[in-house]
Amino acid sequence: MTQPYEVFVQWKRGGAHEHAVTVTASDREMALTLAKRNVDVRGAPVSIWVTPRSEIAQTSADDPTLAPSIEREYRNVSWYARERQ
Amino acid sequence: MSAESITLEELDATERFLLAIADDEFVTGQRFAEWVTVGPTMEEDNVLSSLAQDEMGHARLWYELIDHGRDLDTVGYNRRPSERRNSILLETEHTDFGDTIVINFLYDTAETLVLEAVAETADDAVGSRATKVLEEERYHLEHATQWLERLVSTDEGRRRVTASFERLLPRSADLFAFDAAVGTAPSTAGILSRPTDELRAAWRETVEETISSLPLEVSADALEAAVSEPVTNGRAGEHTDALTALLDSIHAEGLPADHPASGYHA
Repeated sequence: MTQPYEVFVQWKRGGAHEHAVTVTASDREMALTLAKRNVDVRGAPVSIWVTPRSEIAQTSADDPTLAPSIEREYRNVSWYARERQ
Repeated sequence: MSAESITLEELDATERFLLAIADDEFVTGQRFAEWVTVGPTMEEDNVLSSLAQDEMGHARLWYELIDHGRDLDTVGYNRRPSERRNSILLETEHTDFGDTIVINFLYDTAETLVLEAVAETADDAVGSRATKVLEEERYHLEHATQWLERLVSTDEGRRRVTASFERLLPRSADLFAFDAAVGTAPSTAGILSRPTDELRAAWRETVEETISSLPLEVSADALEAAVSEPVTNGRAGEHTDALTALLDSIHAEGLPADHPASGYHA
């Protein structure tokens, strides 16, 4: 059976792999083969990752633990940058 | 630029060899392009379009070397079937996706062998083009073998891929059947590092190895026909009705009006 694979592309050496496209494939080798020619119109990739979508764990849309409810901006990096000025 | 197309008379033996290679690419590109919007999946549709564009790009590289100053569109599009030197395998209609993959495998295996022999020997305009094309051929072969392995994973797939091999192997007999002058001239001129019969033997070996590695039962007759004297030799300008139909379908889109000097239907 086929399943969706998420495709992540590294466009520059040393750069992060960014999500580019989804391909449907029977296995990961086929997913890579399909991915190569489904992203190359945007440029020349340095590297491509594929993973079955089912292997990706995802937070729920209204996850209350994603953002703090109590103000704690002092814990963000930007706080210290501002304090130094 | 002249609007007239090239004629075989003005090409030397080496140029005729390159014309055969170019015509292979051109016809393959056209057949692959037929999948646009009707590919088996969206992603594979994109891949097949990409392969079609590769083949048209390769055709351009070779036509450029032999165009004698002619307009490239005219050279590619406006030659009658009898003026063309592509293998009849490549003009064959694709009746299903299995045909496309089997043709992809049989042709790209042959092309890789021919171009490796070209790239090894010629280090001029011809050799550098062969090297460029070979880089893209690696993906073409990856595409063919990945799909072959997966298509044969079901009973229906095995049946249909077997039928494709049975139908298409006999049409592969002209892949290396360059006519006497064309077949020998490149090797004497130092363009091919190996004679064509040696290339055909290497092709046969790869094809047989691949088929025997898959759960397919392709007849010995079909395999033998693939390396026998061709019944219809595209390299000698002999073609099937499929090529006429393909060219007519291109020109039915109004190409003669865009290229009034083509005279294709004249």
